[in-house]
Amino acid sequence: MSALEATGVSVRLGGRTVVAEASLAIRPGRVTVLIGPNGAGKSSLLAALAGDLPPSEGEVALDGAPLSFLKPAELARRRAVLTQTVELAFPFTVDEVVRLGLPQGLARAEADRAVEEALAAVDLAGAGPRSSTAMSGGERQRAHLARVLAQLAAAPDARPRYLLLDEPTASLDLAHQLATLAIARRHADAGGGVLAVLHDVNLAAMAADELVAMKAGRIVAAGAPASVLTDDMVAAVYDVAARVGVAPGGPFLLPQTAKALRR
Amino acid sequence: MTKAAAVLIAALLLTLAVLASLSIGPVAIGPTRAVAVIEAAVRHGRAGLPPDMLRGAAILFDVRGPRTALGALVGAAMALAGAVMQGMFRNPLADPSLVGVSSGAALAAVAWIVLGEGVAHLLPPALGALALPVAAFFGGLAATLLLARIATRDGRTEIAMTLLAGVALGALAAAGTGLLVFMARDDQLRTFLFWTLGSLGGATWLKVGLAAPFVGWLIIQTPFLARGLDAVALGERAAFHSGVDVERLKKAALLGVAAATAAAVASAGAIGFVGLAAPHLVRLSIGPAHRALLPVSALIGAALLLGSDVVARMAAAPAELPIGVVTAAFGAPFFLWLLLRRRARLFG
Repeated sequence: MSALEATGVSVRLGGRTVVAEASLAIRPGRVTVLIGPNGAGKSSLLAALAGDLPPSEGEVALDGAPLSFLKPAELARRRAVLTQTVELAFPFTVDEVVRLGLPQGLARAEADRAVEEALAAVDLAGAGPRSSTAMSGGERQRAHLARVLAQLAAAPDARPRYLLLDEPTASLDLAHQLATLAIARRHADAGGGVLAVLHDVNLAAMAADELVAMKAGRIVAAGAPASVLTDDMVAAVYDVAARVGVAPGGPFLLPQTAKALRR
Repeated sequence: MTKAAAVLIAALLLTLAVLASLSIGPVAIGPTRAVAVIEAAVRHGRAGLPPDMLRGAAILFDVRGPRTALGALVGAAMALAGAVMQGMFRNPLADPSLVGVSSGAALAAVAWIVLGEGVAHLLPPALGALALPVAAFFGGLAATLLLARIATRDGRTEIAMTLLAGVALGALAAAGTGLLVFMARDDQLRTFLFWTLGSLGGATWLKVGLAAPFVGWLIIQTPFLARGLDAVALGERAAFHSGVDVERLKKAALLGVAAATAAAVASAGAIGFVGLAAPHLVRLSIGPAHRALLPVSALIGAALLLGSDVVARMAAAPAELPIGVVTAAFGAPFFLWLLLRRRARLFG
């Protein structure tokens, strides 16, 4: 079965174990969302799945092939990554930024179309000639999302492609948060796999097919949002006493009902 | 400005600079006359030239020809190396001297001048003239290779480590240079001082031929480098995510720059400023995308260096100014003016 899959992965950074024995499969057609407190190892696990951080133990495999066997260019055709902060060194235009994601050797018309569609998808149609350094943080984040989308849109074959998003909604307004999650959903519906790290547990529960909670480098709960986002899990993972409610769309948590257990 | 227009303008400027470099000098040979002599020599061979063209041909082919070719090569190498370093370090103020090439070359040059005396007379005269540039070349290359080795761990070259270790190695080389300068006699001191200020005087086709492969190596790599450097502007992680083999890119950039810069410094001395300014000028007019930036920078760098050399030849004729003095004296104020005028575009 195809998947981007971590099996018993541990990651050590600066002598500290930041991810411990994590096993997680990102499957085509599904949106998997990682939640957990700061420093839980969410971004490190995502980086291991992206191929940035070689695991000290365990293995990450893309549709059965160990990541370490794949060349960067091959990897880039089958998975794209949006990281938290991307600081451009030079004032590239938005159009140039999106094109950075495109694989080499793409026909001009095809490249133009991929760029145009990606910009339209993130609500930046027509912003191509603007300087990316003169944009707001949220706009810039969307421009980079467009780059990541263009990278996968231009992939030539029908194999599943994986989208890894590290806090894609962090500096966005509510409308664009929803739009970004809708993009993730569309990617899954089109047969791709999605892994997103989200801080907002409500957005996470709403967007996820599978919700995965981490604490101190370990995966402590995984499954359907309703089975993961519970009073007990919130207490155990976030050290917060809260009453989880249930809305028609799934579970939710009102911060007004929450109280820190200890600090 | 469109990219095609920029390439065209840069090529035009370089053509003008080449013509100026061939025609201007103590013996003026007008551009049309120069072209006529070259044409006649190509058609009939130099032996078959009419007597009134012989002197012109000697000046063009034996003096100004190699000088112009070397100047274009060195200017292109410095500008290209500067553009690649700025992209690699993600810093518009980077230049090849950061990776120790210049300081390593200077140390080797002064070491040859001061300590090589004992063996210099053993070499045949033809080799003796090349000993200084060859020493400088290997000194520059050795410094960068040492630096790359220090900054690489488990196959990964750390850019921040490269920068800091480069500063340390540069200081160490400067200490060695200082010590040798302290030991040097006055005539050795003078030789070294003029070497550091740079000159295209004494260019020969042999020197051109020795420098060309190293500069050519960097030029050949520009398409690969351009795509990678664009992606590296996003940061190394994002560049890897978008499919760039970042480690391979860094090694290729570092070695290519080291070899080209070492060849340039060895054949013309440590000429400052072209490597820093030429890519800037180009970025201001066509933006930072490396696919156009690298080749246009090379053309502009070659034109700038040839223009500076013409000024160096003419300003204090019959004496020659060191070319480094010219590049700095004209270039620095111009560069400052550009920065102030285009501040917004450059820094967002």
